[in-house]
Amino acid sequence: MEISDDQIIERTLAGETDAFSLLVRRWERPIYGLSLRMLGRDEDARDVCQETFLAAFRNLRKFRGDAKFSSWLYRIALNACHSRLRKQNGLYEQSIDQEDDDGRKFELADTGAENLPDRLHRDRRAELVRKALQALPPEMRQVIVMKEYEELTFVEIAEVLQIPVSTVKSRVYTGLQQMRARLEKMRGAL
Amino acid sequence: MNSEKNRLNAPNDCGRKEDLVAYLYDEAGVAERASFERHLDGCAACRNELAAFGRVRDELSAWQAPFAPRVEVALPRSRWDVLRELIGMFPVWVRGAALAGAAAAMLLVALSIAGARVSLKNGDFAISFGKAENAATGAPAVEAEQVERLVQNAIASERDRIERQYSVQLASFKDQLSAEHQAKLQAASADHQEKLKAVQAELKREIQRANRQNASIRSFFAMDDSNDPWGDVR
Ligand SMILES: [Zn+2]
Repeated sequence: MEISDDQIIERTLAGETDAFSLLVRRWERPIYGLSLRMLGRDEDARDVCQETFLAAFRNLRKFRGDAKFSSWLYRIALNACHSRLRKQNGLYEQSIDQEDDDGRKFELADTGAENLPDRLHRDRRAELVRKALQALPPEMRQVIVMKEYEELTFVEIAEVLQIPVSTVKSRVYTGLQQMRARLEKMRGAL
Repeated sequence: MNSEKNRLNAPNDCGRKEDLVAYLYDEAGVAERASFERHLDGCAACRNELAAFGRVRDELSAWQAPFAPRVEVALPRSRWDVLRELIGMFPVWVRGAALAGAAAAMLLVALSIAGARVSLKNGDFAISFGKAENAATGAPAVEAEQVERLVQNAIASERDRIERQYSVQLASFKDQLSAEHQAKLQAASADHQEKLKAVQAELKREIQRANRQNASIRSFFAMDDSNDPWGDVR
């Protein structure tokens, strides 16, 4: 039987530092995926990944078992994403918000594209999705990302964000609506 | 129930948004689901939106994470942290010496990582890691990463032992210091007593000389020499 997250945490707290790397291996992929979809750049996602696991390790004693470890971890990662977004703010969100009527502005806002792996760069479809996602307000984006890519349930997302399930649902709804509008505009047809 | 008057792409204001997403992601309960399906029959806006959201989801799936890089997290419990933590347990008066020792130990660890030799001793407490003999006999160098892990593991596992060992040494050192302190106190006390005696003797001699010099005056006033107020001073 596979050792549970809680058991690993117990061992880590008991002084077995190496045990924590099991948690890293187990959750690095989801956390990287979440960060990548939130931030849009591989480099930033890697940084946030590192920050997240370090912060989790440092604050492991503060983790209370009343939520799932993964929820707590997602929360830490999202906080790291939001603070990063705030730092690169102005530049980023503002210019993307203005993109609607003018595709050129969209390109200007997308200065980080060269940091993406070439494969992704070539994938026009994925690129459009990425741009459309980046244009969503972060509150909306995070629920779409958790729902679509992390495949969390509404209840799990509510646990991560500590908001009511109904709020999660209405944010997903609004997020999908905005994604639809942007994608339809960008692709001409959807 | 809303009727077909809802046009395609018209704002969906039928009040079933949450039900719609629950249905879309297949998270609706049986009753919820049945209820929403009945609603769908008569609500073109919801039908339209459901289809459009399905296409959005399809688009979203086009962006797959290209790869998941291995996250290398340098956990904050470095060798230095462990040593510092150990030192933190020591009373202040030991820290100076321990820190000097720790610095030397750290240098050894750093060298060992560079040169794959893992063996270090630090004055009072010795920490030996794994295959010190191999290094001594010139066995092939281990990967820096392995060494790093070895050191981390060794420190973690040795920590208890070191703590125990140190507490014993600490106790004996305290005893030693306490003994030294006693001895010094006694020596100081003896010295003090000597000086005191010398001063007292000098004083007495002065008094006696003065007494002798004033003998005539004393006899003149018929003073009783035995009542000399300094007489008690020896
Ligand atoms: Zn409806």
